[in-house]
Amino acid sequence: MPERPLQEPTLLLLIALADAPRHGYGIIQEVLSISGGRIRLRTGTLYGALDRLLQQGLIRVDSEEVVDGRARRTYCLTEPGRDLLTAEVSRLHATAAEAERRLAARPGAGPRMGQALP
Amino acid sequence: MSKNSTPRSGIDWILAVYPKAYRASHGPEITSIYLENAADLPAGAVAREQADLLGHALRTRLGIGATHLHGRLLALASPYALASLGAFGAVGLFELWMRQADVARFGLPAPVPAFTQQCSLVLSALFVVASALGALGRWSAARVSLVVALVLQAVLVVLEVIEFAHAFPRYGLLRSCYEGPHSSEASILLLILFGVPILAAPGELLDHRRASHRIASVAACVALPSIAVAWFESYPAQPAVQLPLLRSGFNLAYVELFSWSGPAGLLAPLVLGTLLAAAMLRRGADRLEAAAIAGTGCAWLTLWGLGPTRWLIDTTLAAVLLLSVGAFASHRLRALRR
Repeated sequence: MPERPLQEPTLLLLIALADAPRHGYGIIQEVLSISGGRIRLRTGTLYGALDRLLQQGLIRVDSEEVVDGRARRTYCLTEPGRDLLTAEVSRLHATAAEAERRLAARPGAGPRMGQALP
Repeated sequence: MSKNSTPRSGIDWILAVYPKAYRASHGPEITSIYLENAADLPAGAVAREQADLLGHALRTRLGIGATHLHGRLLALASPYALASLGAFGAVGLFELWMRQADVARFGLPAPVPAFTQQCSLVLSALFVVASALGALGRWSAARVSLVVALVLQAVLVVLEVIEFAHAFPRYGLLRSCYEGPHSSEASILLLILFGVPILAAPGELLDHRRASHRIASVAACVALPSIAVAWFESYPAQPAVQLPLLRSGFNLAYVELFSWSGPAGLLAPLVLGTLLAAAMLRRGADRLEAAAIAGTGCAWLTLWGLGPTRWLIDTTLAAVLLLSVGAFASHRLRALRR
């Protein structure tokens, strides 16, 4: 398990690569979509993060090709990257579950959202 | 959209900033992603995109990127540097308030002209605002405030030198640069030492959640001793030792260096930095972060240059300059060998 929670852009970048290898612009689009349009990675920021994650061995270059005259390098998660993401997701799940439990345990708390009234 | 604001117009010179090897390996890919990313953006957003890419290029060129040790060090030091700037601004605001109170209480003439007062007020407020923005996680806005403040401070240094040369014509303009106002010179060195980590740190390494409460608590710990000392001593401003534009604010330490409280005010951040670093090392925390904290505390030493020990600031300036030139030369040599 990581010592500290991942920062949001790093987490979103790893999530973007969780299901399939993606090239740089694809990662930007995925992060935009996953964050509900809230986070649009800029090119310099993306490269800073990619350089760091490559150095840490959390992602690797999957393939390099030229499409329509444009250089494309696709990136994918490595096993340590997948393990780190899994651990982070477990941590987030545990936090969310604890929050739900405490909200429900509050004296006089009403039914949870989406729950039918008796 | 004008020709100059199109995405294509800026990319070539930004790519030229990257080291040759990095450009050869990543240049076409970066261009491709940048052009796709900036294709439908308005001119302002294109400019921000270019600034972001230029920042990455500069950090890669200077060896302070997210993958470099120096980049990590800057990122770790930046919350403490921003806290120090907030404290600096808070002390400056307090000093201005005290000076005004003294002028009113003792019926003294205003020690500095209104223009200098206003500049000092704006500068102090900008540092407090930058610090508060950083504590709220608005790092980009904090950086903009800091850049504005640094430019304003630089202008003020020039004005002070001109004013000094005007008051003492026998010195001439060049000699006035050395013999003249020391307060802003020390202030601006301190601001540069604090400003570099904040402006140059790789954004993706900044841990906003951890930084927020640290900025607030460290700023309070650094500012409060100086404010408390000034409050309890509370003697009137010293118009006799001041020239019309000599002082530009933030100089509580300047007035106080000649009494016991000046060194006490400067020792507070030093001692705090050392204690924090020692406590972190004992807890087994990152040594780099401990070094960053201790280094930020040491930066306050530059204010000693305001007093009779001015040689210290000159030595520090020369050392910083030599180290920078040496680091840059060795980096260039390594890059050429690659």
